Amino acid sequence: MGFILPMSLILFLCYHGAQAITWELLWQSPKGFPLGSSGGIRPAIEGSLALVAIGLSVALPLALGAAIYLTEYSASVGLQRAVSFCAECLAGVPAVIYGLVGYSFLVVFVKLRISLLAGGITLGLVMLPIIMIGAYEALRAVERKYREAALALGVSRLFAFRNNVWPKARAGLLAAVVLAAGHAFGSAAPVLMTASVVLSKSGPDLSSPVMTLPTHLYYLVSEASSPQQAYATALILVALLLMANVTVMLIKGSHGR
Amino acid sequence: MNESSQTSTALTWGGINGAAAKRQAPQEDAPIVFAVQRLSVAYGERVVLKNIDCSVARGAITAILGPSGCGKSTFLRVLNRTLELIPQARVLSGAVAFGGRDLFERGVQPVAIRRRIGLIHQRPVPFPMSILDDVLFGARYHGLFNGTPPAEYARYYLQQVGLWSEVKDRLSERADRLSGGQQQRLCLARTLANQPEVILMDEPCSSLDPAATKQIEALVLGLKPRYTIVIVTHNLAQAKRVSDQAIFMLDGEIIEQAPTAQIFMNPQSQLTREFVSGQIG
Repeated sequence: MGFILPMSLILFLCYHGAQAITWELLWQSPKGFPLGSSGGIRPAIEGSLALVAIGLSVALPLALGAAIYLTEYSASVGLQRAVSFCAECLAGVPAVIYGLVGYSFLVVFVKLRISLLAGGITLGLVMLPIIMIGAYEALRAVERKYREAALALGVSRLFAFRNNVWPKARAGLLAAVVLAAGHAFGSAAPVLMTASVVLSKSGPDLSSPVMTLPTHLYYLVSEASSPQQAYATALILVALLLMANVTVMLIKGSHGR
Repeated sequence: MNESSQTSTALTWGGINGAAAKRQAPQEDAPIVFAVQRLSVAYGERVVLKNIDCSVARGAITAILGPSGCGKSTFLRVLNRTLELIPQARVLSGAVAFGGRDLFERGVQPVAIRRRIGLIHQRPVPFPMSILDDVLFGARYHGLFNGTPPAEYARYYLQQVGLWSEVKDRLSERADRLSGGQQQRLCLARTLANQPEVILMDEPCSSLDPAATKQIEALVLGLKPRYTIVIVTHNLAQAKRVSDQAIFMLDGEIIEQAPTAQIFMNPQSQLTREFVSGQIG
């Protein structure tokens, strides 16, 4: 079942959308009326990638820092439990709530307006708990004996971490990051109110709104103008996510050998 | 081994031993390395060491005997201050004098203590790196090369544990590819490379086969002239073979401390007699 379901999904998208995937689709801006019925989705791909990149630059240091502090430096079991409980709650908050928070706080209160920056930070908040939980688990999966044997030689915690724990946890950390980035890449709700626009003419710019793949897909479907363009967009979205996951699998595989 | 490599070994010997000797000089005369007084240790609420008094003689091999769970490993961890790495573990009272200072005195750096007092764990822990980097792990951090090229430095200590001929062509391979016995000798080489004064061993042979055990025991005896060694074991025959002094522990208390021969031939306590004759433990 776990194999059939994703495969049939991809085959379904290929069946409906594959013939619409052309050079033009990947490299041009949307055209036609209603918008998107011809032309391409290049600004949406760029926008989505830029949003995730900004989100990662916000979430990665915070989440990794928190996970490293909890596993390597904090002796308090209570703190570890409290923080992981909060992170799990945060990861369970619906994406649209993040969008609402991003809108009311970043867009309106901080006056970032609907922009790449506001949307990127919002996506960073979406990724934060996912990366933190994944990183915390990956670091905790490194047996204590590696830390103890290193520390028993009189080296600092940082030295032991960098040389002994990090290499063992790296693959797991990377998987957590890609999982979070993929999740953020595909979610429409957080960026709908904070970053996205139906059509952007320039390339990504921090203070301007951007197009994104999931919201573009949403517009295409809601206008019901060109189902083939919509299927092709969905296929590209799924293909990019699949590529990210396969890359992680390969890295993990080569690490485990 | 060819002639040139022997010459360079001799050079390395002088350099490394010279540095170690200088460091050890001040306490060379003191016959006692550790003097433990009324030491109590607890994990949370559970007291695991109860008012322990004992001493460890310089240049001797001291065996700590006792059934599982009697506090032997905890005691070793106190001696090189790795006890505090265990959540909830704490020293309730008592003192451990080492080199004229209390181990738990303010201002004593646990990091410095851990370099001077090495600890070999029950199961070997090869690090996720090459054999060469593994041997040099602590020495590199503490800056102990003293001008010796790192590869030479590593070779000296790998030779000390009889591992050099087995690994000289595969130094860049991952350390966890070695066999269990080789891994344990690698861990010993890594600890020796830290230039310690004391080596603590926590049942170093419990996961090894008889041949590897024999090798480790021979190494321990070979190291005796230059290091003070404390070895925890529940293998009575091993204690008999390698140790000069023996400490018998039961339920977090020290029942008897005496020369090994006396512990086995003429124990003063009834409990010791029962343990060495195999009735308890």
